[in-house]
Amino acid sequence: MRQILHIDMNSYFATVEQQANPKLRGKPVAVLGSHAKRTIIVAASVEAKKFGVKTGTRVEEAPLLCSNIVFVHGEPRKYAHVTKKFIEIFEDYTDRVEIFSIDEAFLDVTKTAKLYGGAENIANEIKRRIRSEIGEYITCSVGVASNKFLAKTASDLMKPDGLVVVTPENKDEILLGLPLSEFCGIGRRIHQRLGALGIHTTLDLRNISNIILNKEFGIATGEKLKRMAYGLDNSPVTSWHDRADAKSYSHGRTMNKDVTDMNEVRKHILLLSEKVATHMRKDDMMGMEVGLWLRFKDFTGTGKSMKIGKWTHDGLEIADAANVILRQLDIRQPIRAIGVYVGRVQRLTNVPVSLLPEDKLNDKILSAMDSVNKRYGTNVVTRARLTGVKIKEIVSGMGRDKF
Amino acid sequence: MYNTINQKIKMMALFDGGKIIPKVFKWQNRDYKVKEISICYEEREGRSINYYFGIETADGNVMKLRYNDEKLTWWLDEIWSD
Repeated sequence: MRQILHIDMNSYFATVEQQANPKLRGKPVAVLGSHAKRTIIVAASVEAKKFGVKTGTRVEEAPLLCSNIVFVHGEPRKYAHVTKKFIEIFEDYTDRVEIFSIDEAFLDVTKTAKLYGGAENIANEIKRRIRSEIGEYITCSVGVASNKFLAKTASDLMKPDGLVVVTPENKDEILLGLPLSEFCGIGRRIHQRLGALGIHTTLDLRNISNIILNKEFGIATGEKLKRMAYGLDNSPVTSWHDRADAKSYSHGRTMNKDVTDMNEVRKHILLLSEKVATHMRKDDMMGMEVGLWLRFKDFTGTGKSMKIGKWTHDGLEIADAANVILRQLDIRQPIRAIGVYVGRVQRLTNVPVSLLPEDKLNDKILSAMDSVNKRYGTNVVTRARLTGVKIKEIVSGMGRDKF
Repeated sequence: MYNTINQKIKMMALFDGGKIIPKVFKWQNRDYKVKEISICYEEREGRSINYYFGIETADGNVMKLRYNDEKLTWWLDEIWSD
């Protein structure tokens, strides 16, 4: 039987801020996504959550829910460093550590548990080491089970600072007592569709015929749902060192104020394209599909993508393609947010090399820019058109390259 | 909230087996003793590294300090005020 740990850092960014500042401990704290005026809350402390403040709550809404809420601007480098530290701790116990999200990881300790007195002992030791080596205020909830689905389900059962072990004896008790909306993999829409089929409990899901389930959701999802009802999951823990290449690269941002000036929009498109391109070059990737999305003042949105007919990781080429899309979009309202993405990406080694002299020269220029920026800091050299335009740090999580 | 200061400070620190431990610093003609380092983290900036320290002073101030390993300089970045 496999032995899997799911470790979930509790109220992660907020707890790290409370660790960094003893005066925030025990107080309702909300971490803001950026220094922009119209940001959202990206993390709420345990104390703030009690008042209904949560990730995604708008800044102006939070004081209405909790009058003494304390706002703190997020600092991505701080969280990246802490994440790196806890991954180092996890890797002391197994080489199979899968980073599931910024604040969650799976550990497969099947082969190593015996060395440390069992999986539960590893869980306790990790909790102790996080406290002593990273910070006394930083806690995590751990689920221990025979597969990833059950381990994640278990870690959600006791927060903060919990430890729940799923055994063959208590597995059914846990699953049958859990609302389907709490299952990892059952989102709002699947939950609604299950409800429409008369499936409201785990027992309902177990009893429903496979034919009905597969007809509604398709065979893959139908069978997955059925297996979840019985706590079955054979998906492997994939080490983050062996993770697959990204399928697309994107960057987006919310404007400080709604924008109607298309020159300003184009400047931001170029800046976002440069960020996407820099990220792709760092990963040795190129793409040949460019997309642009816009969100308007009333939160409706539009977007489109197009194939560009050549492989690129040049911000200028990406921006040119995005500007073509911009002209095709129906824009009747001020723009609140802009995003650029590049899809159909491939490793450089799988992409035909351009022999055109202008492409070779361009590659040399980009490579020189990257070298200077690597040595002296991000954006030391940039496009002249972008002088004076800045994207502030956005605390949206942890990029693939940050730890 | 954190108030941005971003001023150079004179620091007495211990460099101990790969660890940097700020001890006492002078800012605006006043000495501050570091009572507790609540968090430390680092970020590479080009070829240099900035080391950040969330600290509490003996007189109860919460501050963020920064040390740059290329310039060999310490800064007081921020002070917390309730």
